[in-house]
Amino acid sequence: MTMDLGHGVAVRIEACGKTFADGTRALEPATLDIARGETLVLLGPSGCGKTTMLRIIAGLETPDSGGRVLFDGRDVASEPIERRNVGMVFQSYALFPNMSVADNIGYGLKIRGVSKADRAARVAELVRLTNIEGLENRRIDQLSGGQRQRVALARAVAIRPAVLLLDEPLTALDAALRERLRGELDRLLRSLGITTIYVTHDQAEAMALGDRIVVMSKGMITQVGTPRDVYLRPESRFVAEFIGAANIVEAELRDGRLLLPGGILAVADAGSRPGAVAMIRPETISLTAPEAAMLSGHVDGVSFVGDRQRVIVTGAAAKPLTVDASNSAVVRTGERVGLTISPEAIWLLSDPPSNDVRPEG
Amino acid sequence: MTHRSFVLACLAPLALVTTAFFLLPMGRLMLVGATGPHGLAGYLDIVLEPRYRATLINTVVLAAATTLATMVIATISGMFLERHRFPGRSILIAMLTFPLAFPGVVIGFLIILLAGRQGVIGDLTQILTGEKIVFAYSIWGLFLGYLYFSIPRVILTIMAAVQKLDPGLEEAARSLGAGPWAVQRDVVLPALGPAFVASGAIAFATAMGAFGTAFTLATNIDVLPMLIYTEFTLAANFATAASLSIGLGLISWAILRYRAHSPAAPWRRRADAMRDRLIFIAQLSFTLLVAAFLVVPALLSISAGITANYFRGISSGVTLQWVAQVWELYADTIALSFLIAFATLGATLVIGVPAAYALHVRGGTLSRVTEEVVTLPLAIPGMAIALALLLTYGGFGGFRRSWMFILVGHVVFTLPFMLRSVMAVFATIDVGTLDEGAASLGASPMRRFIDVIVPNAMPGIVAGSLMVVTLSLGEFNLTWMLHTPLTKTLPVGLADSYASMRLEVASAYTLIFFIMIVPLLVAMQLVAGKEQRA
Repeated sequence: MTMDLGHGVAVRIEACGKTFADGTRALEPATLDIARGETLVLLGPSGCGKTTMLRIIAGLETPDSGGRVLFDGRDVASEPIERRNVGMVFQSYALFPNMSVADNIGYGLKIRGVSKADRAARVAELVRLTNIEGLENRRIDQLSGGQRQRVALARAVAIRPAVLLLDEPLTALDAALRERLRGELDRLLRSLGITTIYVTHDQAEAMALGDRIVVMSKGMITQVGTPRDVYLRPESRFVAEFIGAANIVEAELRDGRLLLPGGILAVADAGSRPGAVAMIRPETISLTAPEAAMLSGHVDGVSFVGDRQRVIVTGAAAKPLTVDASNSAVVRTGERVGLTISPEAIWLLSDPPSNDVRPEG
Repeated sequence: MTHRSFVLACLAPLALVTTAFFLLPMGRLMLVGATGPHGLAGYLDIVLEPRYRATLINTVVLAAATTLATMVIATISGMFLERHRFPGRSILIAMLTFPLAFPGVVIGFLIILLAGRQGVIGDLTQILTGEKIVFAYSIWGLFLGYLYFSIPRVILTIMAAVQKLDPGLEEAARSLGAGPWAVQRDVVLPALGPAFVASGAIAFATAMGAFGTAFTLATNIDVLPMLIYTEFTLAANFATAASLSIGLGLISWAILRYRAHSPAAPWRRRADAMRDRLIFIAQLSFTLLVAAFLVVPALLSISAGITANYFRGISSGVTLQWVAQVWELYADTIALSFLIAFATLGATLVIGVPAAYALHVRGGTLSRVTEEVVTLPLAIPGMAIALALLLTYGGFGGFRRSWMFILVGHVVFTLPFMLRSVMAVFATIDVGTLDEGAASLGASPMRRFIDVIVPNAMPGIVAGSLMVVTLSLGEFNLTWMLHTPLTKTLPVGLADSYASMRLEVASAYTLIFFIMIVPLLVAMQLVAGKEQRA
């Protein structure tokens, strides 16, 4: 299903900050390169500045002075959105209620003066590509949420944009549909090979779709990396906790061992310091017999979630640890368990320890 | 053109027209008010001079009484109609709301048919008691006229508010243990509060400034608009007329602007089937009575228009001779009315639709202030606006004598309705995002406006257009002051015929007005109904 749609442009934003008229700083000056054909995900909680960054790239917001937006090296700062040739999918889809599905998809081509016949051909192509055959003449209010999402995508792609910008395009949908469309969207974006910038607050969506993920917080970029990087090697406690589930363990590190209330843990780092902060993913911890492990604790609670069991263990570290056990393991509340973790699975963060470490009595 | 300059261009016609034909004249009116023998102190005359003060008190008391009575009547009937479904309900609603577009003059005439010398109340009381009761030409007639005018408006507002009430609120209150009375007191009435206040304020302000009804009933009823009229036209006392108009305008504006909390009649929920039935019947009868009050005079007028001799009754024969006579005498007023109505529509579309868009997307303090200023004519009595226009442009002979002068008044008066109607639609659809969506596809600001903004604002544009045409066709307060013998519109002709023609001719003329205005009203209701369902 590969089509020649061009691969878009390389995008560079340079020292782009945004301060709104009321003085709110939505985005600290940021610089970022997006390669041609790459899918970059801007990920962060609401209010982190990700949508502002997208709107600056789109041309819907102007950056504070000094900021530049470059498409293939060309400064587009002075061009309003209607001249940037970007395809945009809005969170609310912004489909025109006064036009049919086909007219919506063909609108950008009509503006560009594409002949009626060419337009119809292109619309038909996109209808096929986004699996909405048969809906061409429907009104927008006759569409389901998922269908609207596809129409919005088809409309944005129809103009062969230089960059495709998606602002939380799946957020308005229910969970099951979101997951299915995420798969479709991923295949479509791969087949188009177009430069894509995707905004979301959903880390699972970011991992599934992004070539690279930009994690943002409080108007700043905190980490840029592949999904593997940001999950396995987070650069900060914020990234570790925002993406996936994480146990953050604060303890003294002595000669490559973390000294914990319930025993010791060997890590890959051979150093020593009083306040080390380590991240341990729940799925990297295995439950064993207490005498077989160097670290042990008590089971405080077990919840069965289908594909696995989530076990809370207290007494091992200063704070309760979350452990993902297989769904067939027999784990009882109150029982003492041993915890085994490979040294490579313990990732030391550079963050300073927090002050609220209270040794358990 | 950048988006910013396009938005500013959208506002330009509005700014121009409002400045030239509203702000400037109102400023002039204020200046003239201070040119009397007492100078600026002339403004105090409205409260210091005993005759003016008595008139002011009279007017306020009458307006307050009208408001109170309207609120009670409309609350009972409005809640009843919105909470019950029964056969004939929609006809009843239509009967209660069709007088919406009747101008004051017509209502004055209907009150005369009801309680005047040849009125049906007089006839009935003569049969029943041997004594003929006639009160149309007194303050009671005026009170009845204002009631007639206000009831449809207030009923509609209350029905809309009751309909919008989230049933979940009542259910939640009941789930928390609130009894039927407590639900009404703590949830329903507070939720309706804003509607009560808004409709009460409108009823009060219109009763303060209404001129047409008083004009038709008698020139010697002591209310402020009549006083201004006589000071201006008969005594040529421009300064007093101007200062009184400013005073009247300020009162009306203040009422509409700073709406105080108003008490409302309590309304109980049913307790058991028997009482439920009784309450239903009582409410239905009451509502039917209200409908009769509104419909009977109109029917009387229609029958009088086709009766050979109204004094002798319908037995004297049915005829179209009066209609024909009216056509002969007044056909030109009808034509001029349509010309002005459609010119007004054109102007309000060209000025109002782009301005509504610009005010919506710009937002901010400036937009709010602009909207406030532009909608001021809703709160200021037509008489004050007319005086202001006369004092400012009366000297431009050619303009003063042409129908364009009336057109200007109608545009100033109807523009707020178009603006509000279109802005209401913009508030419900996400215009900003639609605009951005079209921009992302490459459309210029102008193109976006034509392809996306206007089509999606259509429901508001259609509703606003119907309202503008209806209001313009029936406008009397302004038009009476602005017209010349050669530029008479339909309502002016109506007032003429009420004053000088026999009852049958006046009725036939009213009949023609009904025939023109009722389809517009029906269309308006249909559009509103379609909107509600959508």
